[in-house]
Amino acid sequence: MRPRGRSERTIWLMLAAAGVGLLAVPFTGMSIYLMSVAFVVMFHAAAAVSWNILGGYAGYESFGHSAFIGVGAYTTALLLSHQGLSPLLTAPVGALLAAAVAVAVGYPCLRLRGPYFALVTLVVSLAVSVVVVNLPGLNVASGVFVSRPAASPVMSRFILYEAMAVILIVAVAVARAVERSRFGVALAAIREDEEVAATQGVPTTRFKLVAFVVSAALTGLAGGIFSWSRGFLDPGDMFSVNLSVLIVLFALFGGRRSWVGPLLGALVVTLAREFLFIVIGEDAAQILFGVLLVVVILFMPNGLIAAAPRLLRNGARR
Amino acid sequence: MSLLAARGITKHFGGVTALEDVSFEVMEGETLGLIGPNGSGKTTFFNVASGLMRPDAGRIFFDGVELTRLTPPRIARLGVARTFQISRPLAGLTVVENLLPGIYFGSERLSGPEARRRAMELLELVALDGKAHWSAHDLTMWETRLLELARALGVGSRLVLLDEIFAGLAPADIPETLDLVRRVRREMSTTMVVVEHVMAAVMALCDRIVVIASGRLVTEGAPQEVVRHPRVLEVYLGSKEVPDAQG
Repeated sequence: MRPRGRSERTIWLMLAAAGVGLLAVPFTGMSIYLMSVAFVVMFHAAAAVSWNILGGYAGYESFGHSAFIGVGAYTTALLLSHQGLSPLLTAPVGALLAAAVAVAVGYPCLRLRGPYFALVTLVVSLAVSVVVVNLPGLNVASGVFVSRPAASPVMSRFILYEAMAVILIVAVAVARAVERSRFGVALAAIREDEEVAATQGVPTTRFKLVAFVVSAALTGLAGGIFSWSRGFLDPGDMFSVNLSVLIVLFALFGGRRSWVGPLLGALVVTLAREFLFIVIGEDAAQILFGVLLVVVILFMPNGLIAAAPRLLRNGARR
Repeated sequence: MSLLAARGITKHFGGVTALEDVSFEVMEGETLGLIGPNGSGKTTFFNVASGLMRPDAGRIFFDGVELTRLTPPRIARLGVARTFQISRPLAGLTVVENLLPGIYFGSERLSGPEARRRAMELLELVALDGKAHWSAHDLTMWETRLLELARALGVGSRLVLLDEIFAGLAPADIPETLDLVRRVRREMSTTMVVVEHVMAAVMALCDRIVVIASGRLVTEGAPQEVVRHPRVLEVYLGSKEVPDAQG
């Protein structure tokens, strides 16, 4: 790993300050509504930043990341409803199980690239959901009731907010550490030309698997806290293909070179969706939203981060 | 002492014979020219030696280690590096970042500022240091060749396989490039295998030449002998007599 110079340390300190700020916001008396919107934004951001470790840095776009959300979600939900264990304790268990799934499916899947990898991860995520739903003795198929974090709704929302904020902070810290590391340089080389990377000494097979496992574990962690907000888990709800695609869109929309892109993408897209749902209703919003995304991806193929300076310049000229 | 030894390398692509029972050795410290007409199997040999292809038969040894059982990264870690005939820069990265994977994960395995320093040294050697922070995408074709060379040296300098780095160069650029390769060889005491069509370069650089045609070894020897060898003239220029089945 690179030893960090002063500027590097300054950046980490600024990020730590931002993290503390994020954790402190609810103490200013946020409404329940704002806390729940922030919760979803942070959940989406954590998932997108985690997805990006494999999909952005290494260029292996998974379209099945809701499998890891689902594994994390059902792990905490089942341990809560059967054993009474808090998701605060069991979310890491969900992350471990998601990592285990990634090891099992990663080795064969990561031999494929591009659309083949996208397709096979999508199919595998459907298979994982079928397996989880049909696990013997757990009655997942008929739904799982999840008790709220606390008796008071405000307290519940507060706990959920803080838990998801911690997970987002962890995801960003890991993603940034990867970016700055030799491992991150190797992933970039894999993205650009995997054969060249291999002839440079990069253990491509192992590194792709590590990236996949880290990405899956962090996504599972986020899923583990997400299910706690639900009250009742419907099978097919956590494992939704919609969510898998949405995670990819966040990263594409924001830009995939660094953790900032997926974070920004998740923020902008989630808030826009929320806003459109309220203003023009859910069905019309979905349609408008789909069109908007197509336009955005056509005209900003490298995401908001890359396009923003250009847009600002053009705006200033007018 | 031989650093690289190929023993009976055979590789077929469907019905096409790329290499057929090719054996030769590369001595420590020498520069060996590997020449032959287009399609004679030179690049296939590099692909086999760097682990990107498995031979159908035969083995290659590097310093006593069998390369033909290893993956490309393991081979790179031994200090065997190659360039690609058609340059393959990591286009989304900067010039200096192109060198880092090899320096981090090749035979030297440097890290931190030491690795960056090494990358800059190598860029200086090929006179690309002024463009270290350019996107590799913006280099000219010639500059991507230099980048290929520097990147290979970052992986390791024990054995470098150069795949046609002179191809397509303006004749005026050839002497400068020759000087560069000589300087690399001198400063890093690198053993080289050079696949090349530019005969002026081959004659100027190589201690010894191996000629292959249609995947088979034709002859090997000192440059002056090889170019006068009747079989070599025949594979390059054709012969007046009706050739045997191979013709």
